[in-house]
Amino acid sequence: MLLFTSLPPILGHAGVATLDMACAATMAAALYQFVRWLENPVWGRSVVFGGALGLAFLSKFSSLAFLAACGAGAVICLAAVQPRTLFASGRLWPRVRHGLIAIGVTFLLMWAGYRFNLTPLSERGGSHPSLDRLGANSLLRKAAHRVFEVPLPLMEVVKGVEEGYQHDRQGHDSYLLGQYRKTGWWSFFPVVLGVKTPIGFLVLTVAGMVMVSKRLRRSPWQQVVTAMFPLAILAVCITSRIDLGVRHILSIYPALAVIAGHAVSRSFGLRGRLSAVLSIVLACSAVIDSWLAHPDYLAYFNQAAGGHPERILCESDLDWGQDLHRLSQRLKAHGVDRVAVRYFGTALLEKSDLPQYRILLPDEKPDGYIAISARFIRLGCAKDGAYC
Amino acid sequence: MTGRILDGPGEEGLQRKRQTKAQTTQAKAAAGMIPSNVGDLGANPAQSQPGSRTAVRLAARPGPYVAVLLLVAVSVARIAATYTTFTAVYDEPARVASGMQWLGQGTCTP
Repeated sequence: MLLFTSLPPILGHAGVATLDMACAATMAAALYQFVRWLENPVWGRSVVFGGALGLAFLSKFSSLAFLAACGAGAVICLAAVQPRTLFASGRLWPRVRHGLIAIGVTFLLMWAGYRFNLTPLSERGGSHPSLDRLGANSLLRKAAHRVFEVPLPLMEVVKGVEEGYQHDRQGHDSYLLGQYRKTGWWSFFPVVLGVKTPIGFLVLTVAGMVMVSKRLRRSPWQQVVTAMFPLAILAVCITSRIDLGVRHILSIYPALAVIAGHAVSRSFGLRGRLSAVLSIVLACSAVIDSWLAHPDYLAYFNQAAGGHPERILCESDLDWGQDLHRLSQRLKAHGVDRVAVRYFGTALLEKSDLPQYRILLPDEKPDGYIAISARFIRLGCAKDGAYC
Repeated sequence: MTGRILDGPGEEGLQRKRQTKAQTTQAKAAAGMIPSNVGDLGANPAQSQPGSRTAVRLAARPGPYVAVLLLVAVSVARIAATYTTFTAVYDEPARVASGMQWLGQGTCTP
């Protein structure tokens, strides 16, 4: 818990009004309840697990992909590594029955989240060119039209997932190590985790993973499954074309913190005191790193990133427009009365306390004071030479 | 290290140690301090009474729960301390606006 609550990305993103931290929190709850449900699938746990799943799905659509990957990964992992654990009880039917209860609760909660709304899959009545192309049989066509036009629950989710899928196919403007791409990099999220996480935490996580993987068949299955969750989440992110920053992979941190905590705990059981002392030093370094980063949790980079983190990442990992207030104060302190601004963020410039300002154009060669967000200097410059 | 092995408790002593450990474990499980079904997938449903077990654990050992609450409180304070430094940042403004409208006016325009 100490390691988790000391993580700068968690503190930074918990302080802004976005969906990412809600997704991370509800994902952690859903995964924990999943393990408890696997332990003992009874009525109460099925209902709680279903509720946790519903909250996670409601918080952000990416949780659908994350939880599907974690669930599938857990079953495959247990079947491959500890098959007796998974099938020993021989009570498949109760498990299926309680699984259906959980799914029912999830469905109800999600539908309640959309205020029990009923919407047809297609809003257009009588005309569906895509369906008409499939066949001339009028009876089949009418039946298909009827299916498309009948009001159903949770159609908003279907449309939202479809939108998310299209967004992923098209990609998103991304920046990594001085390069621009629309379709992302497979290495983006490993690099993000490598530079946005305190080094002490990373070392403890790797040590915890090694400890669990060395005793795969002898470790309690809960540990094996918990070590698999972050890998499943990372696998989903690596295949994604939307590379926006650490905020998209915040859900990985609760499980990583458990693994890091396991490493600290196990180090006390190992022979000799060196490992215990080392683990305490690493944990302390992670906590101290976090305190030293205050208040810039959002823009935190570890020591491996060096003095110019903008060469590695920009946007929400470094500058999400959070420093507009600081900029105003700085300009005031320097007695600046006019400034050219190109701001990447959601705050309203006219309501900020800036001196007289104007918007800076991409191909302009201005004089005087200029304030420009790192996103435009790095990503804009790498993309099409703007603001170089 | 060699001395410690040679001066070890012997088979009788080891057996006594194992018995004591087993008794301690049983006592802890009875007090609800450790789950009795850890590592056992699909254990006896009758053993599961999450609410009462948590209450027993809390009464027996409040320390970890207090520590967790303290850590959360410190983290909240650290986050809240940044609000005076930074400009408010938000994403997906349409959704935030819908939520604010729902909370404030009781209606929602998605």
